[in-house]
Amino acid sequence: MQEFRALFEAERDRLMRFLCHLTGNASDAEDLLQETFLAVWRKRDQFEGRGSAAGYVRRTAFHLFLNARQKQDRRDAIARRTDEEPACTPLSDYEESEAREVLVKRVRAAVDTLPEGPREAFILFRFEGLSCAEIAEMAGVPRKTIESRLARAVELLAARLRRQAPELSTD
Amino acid sequence: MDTWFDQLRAWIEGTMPADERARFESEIARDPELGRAAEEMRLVWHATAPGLGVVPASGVTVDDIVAAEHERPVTSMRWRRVAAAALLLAAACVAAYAVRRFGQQSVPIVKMQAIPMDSADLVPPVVPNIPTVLANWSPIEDGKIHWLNSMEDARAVSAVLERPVFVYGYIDGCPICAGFQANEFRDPKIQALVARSVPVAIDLMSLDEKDRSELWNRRYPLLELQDDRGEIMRTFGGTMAEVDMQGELSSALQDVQAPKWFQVRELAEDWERARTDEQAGQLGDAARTLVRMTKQRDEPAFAAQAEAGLSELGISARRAIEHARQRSEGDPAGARAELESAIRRFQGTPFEADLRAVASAWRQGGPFPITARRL
Repeated sequence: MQEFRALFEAERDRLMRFLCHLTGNASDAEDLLQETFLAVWRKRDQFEGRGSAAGYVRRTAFHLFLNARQKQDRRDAIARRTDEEPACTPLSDYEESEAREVLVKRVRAAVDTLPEGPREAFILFRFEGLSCAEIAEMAGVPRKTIESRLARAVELLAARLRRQAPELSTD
Repeated sequence: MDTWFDQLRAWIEGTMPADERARFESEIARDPELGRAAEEMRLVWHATAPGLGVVPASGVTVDDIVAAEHERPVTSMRWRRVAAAALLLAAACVAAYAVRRFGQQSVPIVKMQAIPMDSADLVPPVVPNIPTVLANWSPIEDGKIHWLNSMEDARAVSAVLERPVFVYGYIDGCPICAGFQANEFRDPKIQALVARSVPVAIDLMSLDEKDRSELWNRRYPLLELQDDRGEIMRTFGGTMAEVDMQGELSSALQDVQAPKWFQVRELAEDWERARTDEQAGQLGDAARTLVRMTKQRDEPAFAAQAEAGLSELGISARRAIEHARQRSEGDPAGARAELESAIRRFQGTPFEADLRAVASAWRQGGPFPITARRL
């Protein structure tokens, strides 16, 4: 129990950020966070002493996110959601300056328009600091696949961001 | 081993050791393609530096987890029992219905979750087409009015955005028109008003004699607002250069808001991408873009167009099932292959699950399932 508590305390905030980036909303992120630690608690005997506990937690969270996303896609097909979830993008409570808020919204909007695979790869690479090998292992796909997803994400984002701010053009 | 992307990140963030950096830079200097990719990545890296926003702190505690662990099995067991009983009951009802309806032959029934089944759903809703020009155009750019030069495009844009067309009829070399271009149309206040409309400039000399004289008689230079069908909403007063451009525009457009042109352009671009993906057979990507478009509420015409696009995809999925059903009578193996191919084609769309459900319910040698509307 002590080890689990220490792991929870050490990883909770990092995991919340990780899930918030992936899901784009705080309430889904919190649900997944709880499910992740519940799964880890149930299987605590299986990972103790093997590999990195933090890595195991993150992999578990990522798989739960993928499952939830599949279910969400199905729900979207049945009845497209119209309600707004609380967003992870800045709220006035967090005292972000207006200009920064606009910039963050622009980044979020650009990232959210990416197809799912490139979007996830880019978020993990850019905002979570994971290497291509780590992302590939977590997603259970070859490293080359992650590289091509990243290349696609960068290509799409560069095109979009250049249009938003033509002065960024390297031409 | 680090991949190219890992090295690129270290290079951009300045964490690459000096010797490696020199080697890396000489590598990208030698290969223009690598150099371009590196610059593109650097651009994206800097542009995304603001991040994805502040993440609120989680309120979950270890005690929540432990409590959930103790509560869940009981709830879960209770739910499982209820769910199992309901499923058994539903299965018994369906089986009884099928036996009565189809005699001894057991025909599986699959309820479609997303594929449209009502005959009324088979005709996609009629909505204004999104003109291609919208993906690359907005009326004010770089401090200038970007006039459309086709009435057809202007009316199509007007129909989608529900904004009036601002028609400016001119003749090349006319000093009055040159005066408008140099003064009024460069005025930011006038530009802000023009941004509430769809501006189109027509060279009157490009028209035939009859059309030209008709417009000439209304006003020269022609300055008027029309709706998307060409009905005149307002012809500006004044004669020749004697016109209160700001007053006329302000009065005519006082109840009209400027669209968020940036967003309009992105939506039009999304629409183009979805169509391209669809034509390339990337139906999953197309459907995801369309679903996202349906969720935005600022531009209802785009949401309606995306709904219609999804509806067309759904109809196409239904046709695939119907085709496989017809073929199943004489050529079950061919029909099975056709269904499998449709599943691959519709992978990642909201209709994939329905196609899979039909394939899974269709047992080897058995009758093709009946597809039913979700109640």
